Amino acid sequence: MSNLVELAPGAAVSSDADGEVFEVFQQDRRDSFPHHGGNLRAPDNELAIHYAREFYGRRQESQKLWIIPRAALWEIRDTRQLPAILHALARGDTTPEEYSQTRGTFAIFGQKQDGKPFVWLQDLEQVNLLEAAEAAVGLAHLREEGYLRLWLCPRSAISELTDPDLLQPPFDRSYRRLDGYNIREKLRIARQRVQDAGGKLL
Amino acid sequence: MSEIAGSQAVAPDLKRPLIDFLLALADDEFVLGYWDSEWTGVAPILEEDVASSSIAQDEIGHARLFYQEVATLTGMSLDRIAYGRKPEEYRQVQLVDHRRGDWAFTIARQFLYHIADQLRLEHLSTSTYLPIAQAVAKIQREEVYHQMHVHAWLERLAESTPEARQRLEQALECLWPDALGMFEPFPDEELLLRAGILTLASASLQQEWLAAIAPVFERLQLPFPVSRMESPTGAPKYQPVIAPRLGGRRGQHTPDFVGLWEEMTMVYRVEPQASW
Repeated sequence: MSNLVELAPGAAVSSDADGEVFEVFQQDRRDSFPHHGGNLRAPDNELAIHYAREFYGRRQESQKLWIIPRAALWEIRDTRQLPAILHALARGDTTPEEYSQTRGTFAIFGQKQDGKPFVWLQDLEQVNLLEAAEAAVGLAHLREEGYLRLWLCPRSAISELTDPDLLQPPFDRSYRRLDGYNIREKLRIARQRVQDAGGKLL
Repeated sequence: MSEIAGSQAVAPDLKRPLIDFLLALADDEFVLGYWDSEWTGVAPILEEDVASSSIAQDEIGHARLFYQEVATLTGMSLDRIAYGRKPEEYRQVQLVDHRRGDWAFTIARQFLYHIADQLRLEHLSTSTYLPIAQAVAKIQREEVYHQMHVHAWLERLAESTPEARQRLEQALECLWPDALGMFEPFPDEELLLRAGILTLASASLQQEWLAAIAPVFERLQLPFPVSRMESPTGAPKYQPVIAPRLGGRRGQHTPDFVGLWEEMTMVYRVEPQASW
């Protein structure tokens, strides 16, 4: 079962026959904070890190990646939902025990409008999930501050990837550079050929 | 040993051995990359499809770096070097001649190959031939991910379902003679060693490779047809109990490779003068 489904009806599932779903946050050198890049499916955490690197890091578009199992993310869509959420959490039957009992650091992400990515807002230290949910709502004031939705998850559920050998590869395959695939020289020759042919292609 | 800054500084008697050596390095990566690229579209899951395709692309990119050096030394075009040779002029080891097989076969081969390649690159990073040392520095960083990837999959196959394990064991049994064939000496290896272009003899590299993979094979209890002899003076010595399959470095290849060659050179052979 997905926390997103339980707390926010209509959200996507967290696993299927092809594996578990992982949400990926990325941060480039121009970004102040990690923002949501998208998601992927993987059989487990380790391969999720591999695939996140492929999808969100291979072309030098990220200096940092966070890979989070969707099942560890809790979504709050509306302050009006909060009492129900807190009730569910307090009951303990929808919460992995380790998260509801243990105090720890929770990461809070916010989305301001549909179509815009979630952005990391803050870490809350020494809280359990219940307190984190309350604090997150207090922090963001949801709609009053312009936040449409919040996600929270234990920091311990986040796998962080910053290894420059993996994220800043030695060969530029970003397509940003024309000579990335030795295209510049080929373009020059092609242009020359066209010029020599008096501007006629054939 | 003095450094060799580039193609202009290569002594005449070293030129041919150096070209053959570069072709061996390049052809290994090129042929393996071609087979592995066949997983595009048919890998176990979509995400793996992207990952294994990009690894294949990396390998072909590494081959391109070494072919570029051959082009500088010979004045031939890259395409001519990559696609314009006859099958018996390719210098890859027979380990990479086999078609991709099933997923377990691909992973088993990648594991055997990548560990050897990693060690080979480490030693080549101090090659006196500077273009090799410079290319290797870049390649090594990209190989970090390849190592992670193949380790992760080897563990999974060895420790998941009985069928996965059985397929992995079968693949390894089949590949062992070819894996030992990776350490067939390069043509004129003595000359390359004396010039410091090659910094470690192939026989010594084989010992390093066996020492590196032995703990993994032991932990996962996978077939390891090698006896280990303790030495009072230093590191244990490993002695394979099966014969290696040699010949790749001298241009002897399997029918699988000839089939691949037909395919990968087809466009080039239609119009060798075409410019892309």
